[in-house]
Amino acid sequence: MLSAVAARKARLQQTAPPPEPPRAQSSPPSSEAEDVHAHAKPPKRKSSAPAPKAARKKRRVNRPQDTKLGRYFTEKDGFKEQQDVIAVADDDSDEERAWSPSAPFQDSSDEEDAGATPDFAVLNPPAAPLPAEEPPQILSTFRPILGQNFFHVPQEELEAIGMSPLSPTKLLVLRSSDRLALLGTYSLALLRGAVRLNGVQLTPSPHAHPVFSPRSSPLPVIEYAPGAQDSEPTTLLPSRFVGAVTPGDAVVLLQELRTGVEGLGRVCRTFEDVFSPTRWQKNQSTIDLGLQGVHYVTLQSADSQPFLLPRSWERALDAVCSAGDSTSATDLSRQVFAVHGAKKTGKSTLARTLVNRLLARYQRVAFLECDLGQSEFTPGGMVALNILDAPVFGPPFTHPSIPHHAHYIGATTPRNCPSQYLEAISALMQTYNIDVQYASQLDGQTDDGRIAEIIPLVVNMMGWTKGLGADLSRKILDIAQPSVVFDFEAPQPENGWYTPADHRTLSILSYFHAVFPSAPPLASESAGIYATSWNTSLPLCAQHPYELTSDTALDSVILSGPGFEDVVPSEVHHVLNGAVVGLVRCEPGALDLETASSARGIPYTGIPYTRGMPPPPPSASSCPALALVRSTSSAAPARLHVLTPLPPAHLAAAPPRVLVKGELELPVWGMLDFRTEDAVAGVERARVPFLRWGKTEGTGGERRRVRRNLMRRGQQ
Amino acid sequence: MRLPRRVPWSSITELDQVCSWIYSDGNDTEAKVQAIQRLSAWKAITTLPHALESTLAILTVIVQDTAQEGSSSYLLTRQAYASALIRLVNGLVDPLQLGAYARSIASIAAQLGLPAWLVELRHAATHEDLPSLELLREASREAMVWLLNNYFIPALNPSAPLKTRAPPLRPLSPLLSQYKGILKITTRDASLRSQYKAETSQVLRDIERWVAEAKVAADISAATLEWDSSGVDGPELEDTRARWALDRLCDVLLEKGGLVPLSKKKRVVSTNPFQPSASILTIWTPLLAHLHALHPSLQHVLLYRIISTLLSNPMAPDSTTELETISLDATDRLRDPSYDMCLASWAFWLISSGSGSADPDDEMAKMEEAAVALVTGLGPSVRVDTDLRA
Repeated sequence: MLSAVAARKARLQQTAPPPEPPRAQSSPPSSEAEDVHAHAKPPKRKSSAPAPKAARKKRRVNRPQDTKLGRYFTEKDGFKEQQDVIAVADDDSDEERAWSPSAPFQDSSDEEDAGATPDFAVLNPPAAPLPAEEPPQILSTFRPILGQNFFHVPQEELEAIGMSPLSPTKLLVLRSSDRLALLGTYSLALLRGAVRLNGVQLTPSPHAHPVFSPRSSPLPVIEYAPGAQDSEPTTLLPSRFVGAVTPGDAVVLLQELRTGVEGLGRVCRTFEDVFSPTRWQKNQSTIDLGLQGVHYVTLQSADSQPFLLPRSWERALDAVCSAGDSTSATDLSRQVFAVHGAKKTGKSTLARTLVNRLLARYQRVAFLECDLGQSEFTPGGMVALNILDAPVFGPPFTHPSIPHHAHYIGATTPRNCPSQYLEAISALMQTYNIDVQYASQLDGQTDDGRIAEIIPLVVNMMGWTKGLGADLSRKILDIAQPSVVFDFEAPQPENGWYTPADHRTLSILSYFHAVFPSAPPLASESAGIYATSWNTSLPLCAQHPYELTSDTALDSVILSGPGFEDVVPSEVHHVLNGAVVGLVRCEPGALDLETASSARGIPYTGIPYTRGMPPPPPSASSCPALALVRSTSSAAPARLHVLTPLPPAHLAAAPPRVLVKGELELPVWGMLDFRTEDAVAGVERARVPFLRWGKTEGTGGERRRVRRNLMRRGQQ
Repeated sequence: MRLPRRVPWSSITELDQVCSWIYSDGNDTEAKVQAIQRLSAWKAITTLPHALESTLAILTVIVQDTAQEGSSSYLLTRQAYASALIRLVNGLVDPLQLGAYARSIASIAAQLGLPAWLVELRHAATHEDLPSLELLREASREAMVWLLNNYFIPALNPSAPLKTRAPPLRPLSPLLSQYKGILKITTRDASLRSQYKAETSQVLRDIERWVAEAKVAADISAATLEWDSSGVDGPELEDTRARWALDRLCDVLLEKGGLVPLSKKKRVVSTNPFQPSASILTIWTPLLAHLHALHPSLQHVLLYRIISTLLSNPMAPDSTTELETISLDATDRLRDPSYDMCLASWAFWLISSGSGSADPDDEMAKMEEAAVALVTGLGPSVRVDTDLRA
């Protein structure tokens, strides 16, 4: 039976058009880059857009014939990625995977495929399997030799160049073709020359960039970059090093960075020790830089993939970011970049790289997150507008933020609330268009040679590009009016063992353990607030909460999710207990509280909840932060114990008086007590409420699982 | 570290309370409404176990239906009943679709102990005319009783044995002897091969289906399935199930009259190479090859079963008797040297040519593994023929 599948597959391969051959490569990157290269044509770009719609139209028409190839993988990934879907079949061995998911059935709604290649193209094998047998690639060519290209920097010298003298610091001189991959966390400051980090060229500045480099995401590689202006003043460089440096060398300061982010590995043990090398890596590398929490990585391995920027991306980014070089700084044409593509294509990576590159030209860059599942700067479930003034190096969980403006959707996909989702995006776009785009002209920013007059925007779209998702994506593009759209054709090969669900879990936990600088809200409003450290000394169940008296502190509690209308007021405290909620500020009059209170039930517990009340309109509300309701009392008036990373000053300045509970839940990791194995907050396992260890009893005691790739006999 | 599951109740007594609201008094609508309200709240907290979600759906319709006798639209009620029942059956059956191909819902339902007519009703309500109100009401009652017996009672009394045990796995031996019969005919007279082609593939397919059923049965008897498996322990679980099923298959294969013929005369093995006689090989290799293609671990499992059978005390009761397969009489399993010899020759055949793998390294590795298993099993009391390694 199986061999019949294989035979048919082989026959189809012969008749199917061969995959487009890879283009000529000058450098030999790993086949990872090649794969992308072979099937991804360079994203469409258009530097100034009088008519963005035309650009988009063109993009669609120009899709090449191998679209289906991309779809086959995307679909499989989609299955895996959805929260309520367990990929039952994914554990089958490779031989058994000769059949494809039931692709022909699901593409009818995908309008982009109309008239595309016939269905058998989905049987094409992956173009380039991961290089499992190749010898591991060398990631670091830089060999530190004390006194030649590697120096200790004493405190006084650090003070002299205006850097924090508190942490141990090393000075590295990178020469031509030097590369250096480090695992861990560190601050990096470039004093002279130029280096590239994650595809971004850095320029000399005393400002240090925090870099987070866990094993769970591609490792940033510090690369020597030629071509920096040598006229650059060397005043940053302490004089005793001048002799050791020849013109053209890049001088880098590496400083220990202690943020406590490693502690998240204790909280969510899936990510235990991701900032430390594996035993294999320890054996590979004997080089010690003498900095705590920084590990030298010599060779590439399955769990340390380097960050790679495919050449097609490079070209597209170059074209977009250098297009403005010729134009004057006073060019105020719209600069909105949309990154659009299916799941697992590298949207987030491209968007982050784009932001970092734009920050070389602009003082500030705005970022609109439309991907509810894997948000860059917030935990999932929100659409958020962030403003950045420094590049970010690290995966999303290392830079949670209190965004400039955000709306809470409460789910990891807009599937159940498409119109609310679009309204929220539309409200954020309005905020950008009116308040942000040209805002820099108003508040006096220091001139550092970068453009301050306009704040460009990067829109990261969602990865749901089929059916209703395609509709939504189109509408988002209509709302955003982008000047440039990046589109992807082929998926990135998976790297690492972490699923999107794992990353989502970590990002929520990182958010609730994050410590935000408690600057007064008004001063920092313009750029948003980013976490600077993490406090993981106590689990969430042991931290000090805020106590809210529901009838005085809250205007309304809203449940927003499918079937949530059926929750009656007398049961609402059960629902709030242990829930993740969005803290929402509403403009006066945004909620109809009068009718709401009259419609309330008689056994009023003090929780201002009305059945079936819609969430507040995004145009008149905002969600600064999420909170965890750790407990509720059922006695009236109900008291809620609430944890939120929002700094007290923000809470006091404009207290959010509405709680919105969506489908988003606290991951189970967040409910455990990492201080002991077999108890939670001193309660032994068997008695811990809301958690159950051990097997399920009874038929149907499991959550529903969905198979979408089941085949019928005779369907081969 | 195995993660706990999030459950909406703070302790199992809350679930007990909901259960008594629903079931203690059939006419107490108020208690049922209370149960609906609590379940709705729970549903907003976290995803419910499928059985509870279905309970909520069916109960809601029942309460609505009893409250509105003489309602304006009975179609609405029928649709509500139908959708609740369709979802109940689908949700119970879908997790057990484990292979690449769909198994019939009826066969899975039979193993779950779900009344067959609910499955028929599901089919009718989905594809045919919407069933009558009377039938739907009756089905809902039956479904609620089924949920009580199969979900609530086991969930609330974790130690209590299942009230309705799943039917035991149907015996495999008849299938195997049918297979053997066909193969005997076709090997004796090759000209009959095309005539029996359909029958051969039918019986192969039946054996294949038996393995699939055994996998599902493994699920019930092992009952280790976590509802919250977020895909992480999926592969392991699938492995255990497949392993269990293959173990059962091998047990039957190793019975006399299986891989080892009943007649002692036929057990004579060929010595160079050391393997079962040609007549036995021609009968069994097609089946083994067929199953091996579907279950790559079969060879490994079979080899280890053989080794452990050889090592086990022939007088000791066989381990299969405690399992759910209907096994042959224990007296039948008394062994003699020719049985052992024949099994040993199979083991050797599996190592050397079983998979048809030409890779000598592979063969060496398998040999080593087998030797290790042998040595560990033998321990200090070396008793069994050592010519296996010859």
